[in-house]
Amino acid sequence: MAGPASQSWLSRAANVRLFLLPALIPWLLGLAISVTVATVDPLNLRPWGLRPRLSDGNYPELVTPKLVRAVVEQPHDVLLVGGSQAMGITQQQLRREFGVERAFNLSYSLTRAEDLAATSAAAIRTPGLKRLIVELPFTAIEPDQPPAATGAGAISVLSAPWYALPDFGLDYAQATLERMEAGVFDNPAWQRDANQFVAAPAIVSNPDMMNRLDDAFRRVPVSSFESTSVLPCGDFPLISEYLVPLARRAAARRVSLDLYFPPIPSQSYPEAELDISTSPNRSAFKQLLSFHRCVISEVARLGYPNVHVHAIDLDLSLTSTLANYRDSFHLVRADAFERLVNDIRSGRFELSADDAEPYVTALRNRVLAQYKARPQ
Amino acid sequence: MSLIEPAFLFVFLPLFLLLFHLAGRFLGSRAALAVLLAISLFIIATQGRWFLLLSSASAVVNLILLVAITRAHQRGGHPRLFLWLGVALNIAVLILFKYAAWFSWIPAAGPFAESLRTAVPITLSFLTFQRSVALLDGYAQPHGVTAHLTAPSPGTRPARLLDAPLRFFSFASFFPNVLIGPIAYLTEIIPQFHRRGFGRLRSIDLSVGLTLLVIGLFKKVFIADDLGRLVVDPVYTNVALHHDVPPLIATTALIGYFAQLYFDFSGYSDMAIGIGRMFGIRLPINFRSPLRAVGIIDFYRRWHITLTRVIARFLFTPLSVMGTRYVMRRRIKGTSAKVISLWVPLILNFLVIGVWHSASITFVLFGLFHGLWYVVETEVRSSRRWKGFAANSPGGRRAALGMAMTFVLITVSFALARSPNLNVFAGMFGNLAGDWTNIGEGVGPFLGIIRRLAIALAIIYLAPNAYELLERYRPGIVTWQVPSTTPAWLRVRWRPTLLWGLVIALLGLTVFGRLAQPVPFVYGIY
Repeated sequence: MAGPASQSWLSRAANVRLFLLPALIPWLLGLAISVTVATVDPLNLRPWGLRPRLSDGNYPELVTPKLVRAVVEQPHDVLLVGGSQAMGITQQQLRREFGVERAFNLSYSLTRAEDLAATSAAAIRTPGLKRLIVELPFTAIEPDQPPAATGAGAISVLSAPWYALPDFGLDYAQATLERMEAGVFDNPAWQRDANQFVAAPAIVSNPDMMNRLDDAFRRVPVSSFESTSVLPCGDFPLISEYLVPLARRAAARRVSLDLYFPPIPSQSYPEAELDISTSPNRSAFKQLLSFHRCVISEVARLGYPNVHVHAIDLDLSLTSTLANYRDSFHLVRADAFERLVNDIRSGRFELSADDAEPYVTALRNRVLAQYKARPQ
Repeated sequence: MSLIEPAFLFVFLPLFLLLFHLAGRFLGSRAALAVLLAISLFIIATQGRWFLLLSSASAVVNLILLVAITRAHQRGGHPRLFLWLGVALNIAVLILFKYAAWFSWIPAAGPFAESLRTAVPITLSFLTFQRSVALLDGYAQPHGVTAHLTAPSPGTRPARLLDAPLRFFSFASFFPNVLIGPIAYLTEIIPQFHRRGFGRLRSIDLSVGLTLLVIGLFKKVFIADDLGRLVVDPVYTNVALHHDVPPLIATTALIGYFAQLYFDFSGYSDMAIGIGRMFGIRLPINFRSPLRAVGIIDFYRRWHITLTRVIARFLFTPLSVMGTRYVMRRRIKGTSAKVISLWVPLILNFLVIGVWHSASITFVLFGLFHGLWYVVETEVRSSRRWKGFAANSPGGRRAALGMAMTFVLITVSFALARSPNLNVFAGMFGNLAGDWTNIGEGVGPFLGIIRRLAIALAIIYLAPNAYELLERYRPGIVTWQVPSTTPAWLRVRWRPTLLWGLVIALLGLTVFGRLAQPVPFVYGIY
């Protein structure tokens, strides 16, 4: 390839010092970041470092799960744990509604039963905790789901030995420096990301999304909701391995535990059939109803007075207005999130064992009514 | 702690190198080796105390048996007895921990089997093979192995009693390759522990090692992880849930896994070899552009070379020799002789490779498929008609045909390996029969990943592999020479220059942001 002249030039140019000087730049940068986050330890992952101080605003969805240890090892009055549909609830809304000083929202997207269990088990041990709110997202219903980056982040932080660096990254290093300078672990770029939970346009202004909603009614026949099998209550790991022990711990610690079903518009269930991972030959909607029924009966069986189940999906002021949503499932308006928190606090949609069947029937009828309202 | 964790890369690796160098410089090569052993034990300990205990106990037992083998040779004992005892013990430990789930159906053994599986959650396979083959080395070359274990290092004081255990434990626990290979021979590694200058870091070793480490990181983090996350995993999950997948996307996922597995596993090997080289130790090369192979025979001279040679040494060669002796004794001729002396050993060899990965039907079929393919190809290549064809056809065209056929068959067999069951495997190919007329429909979100896959394939088929690139500096130990198929105009060679330093820095910075949440290596479970 190269002639003798260029060979000799190459030979002269070969100098390991000249090579190592630029080649080590990423290592020096990595070392600087590692030393910064490990020494300051703003997320309470090690036995040393500064006390965690978190921002008053929400964090991006990949950062929030990594805050678990920083949050649960500091006193809090109210904590919220859940999936993407709860991510837009702010600390201010929680504080205002429950009249407390210290509240935090630890919700993140694509929650699985395993990481929801780990996060909640950590949350219930929070010093001074009065109320733990747990959203039960449908991503956590199906067993053996592969972990998402968000849940893996939570697990990596909760199980991190002192020498690990789950908080590695330029953005974490910037936030760490911010913690040292301004006293709060934050990064301006994060706030822009977090604002999307409440700043996105409503689904009704997006024709593509609306078409998808309508198209789902054509692709998913109404019969598919009825003809499939469902898991028995004992096969939901979320209930047997997670909710029951969590309820016991909450009772022992005298923490009020509010479990709630997120508000989903009845127009969105056919699309959920197409989007939501569920086992073959099982309807996501039917599975969801079965899961809700099992949760209600299990909580009733346990009989703890401090454990409540709220069916926020019965709140028509939220679910009947698509303008409240940024897509088929996620609320977007601040007043809608406020209403959701208010629903939980007021117990307006709290269910007892007797309410289980009427609730399930009501939900099913609403979806069937959506089919009837559309020409087939 | 994994080799891709930022804590390892940016904190512990520099610290380990510094400690190793200081020990070597001020206390000599023996102290440097002791530091290297301590580092390895620390890394093993981060995998769990049971793994540390098991790995250490196994190393002690293997050393005792190795010494017993070499002494039995010298004093006229029964070395073969100790060899098979050692191999049986190693395999028993592997079965006990890796395949404990097999016994969970037994009521009394169920909970015990589960606790065994969870006690050592990572693979023991590589460690088992490396230690077993060390016993085999001791059996085959007793004098050489004894000399390697006890020879004094040049310029140091005479050998001490502890030299042999120190060298053996350092070899058996060497942290870059103890978890996922490459599986090294004792006779390849231990001589390097007592060569002149061992224990002092050399700039050229650091440069070559760093280059391999960054190339491996790039392959793993930038290509393999993205292919897995963006296309392979979602598509296989969707197919497992009986959802329809557009045929173009299913094809992308099938080819994507072909590329993902290569970049993931060879990325790990590059990193391990690179880290070894930083400490002045050359490990055997594990991959030589395997996806450019012109057939299955060529493929296994390029893919996971260190496993192929170990299995061939342990299984194929003894079986084939046994079969040949049987055939000669019974005077069997023709096809029957071939079946006994070649075909059956080959198929068993590949079945074991399949089951070693996982005891599932998909891996059994994977092994059977490769075994049959190997048999057919061996026969075709030895046939008169093939030899005539080879003599009268241009080599380039033959190679291109071979590569195309290998590409298709390897993609199919890798799909078997990726599928959790045969339904998913059938579903993946069932989706290929979908509607190709509206090929663009639903492809929009995948355009980025299709582009990434195209880049991955370009690297696979055109770019020089890491060892070609670094060949002037002998980056690792070569097992089999394979011809380069890199186009002449792309046969660039690495040199420790400012320009290459900038290239490596750029590659390093590219993967930098993705290290916060490392994705485990695909081969970490085998």
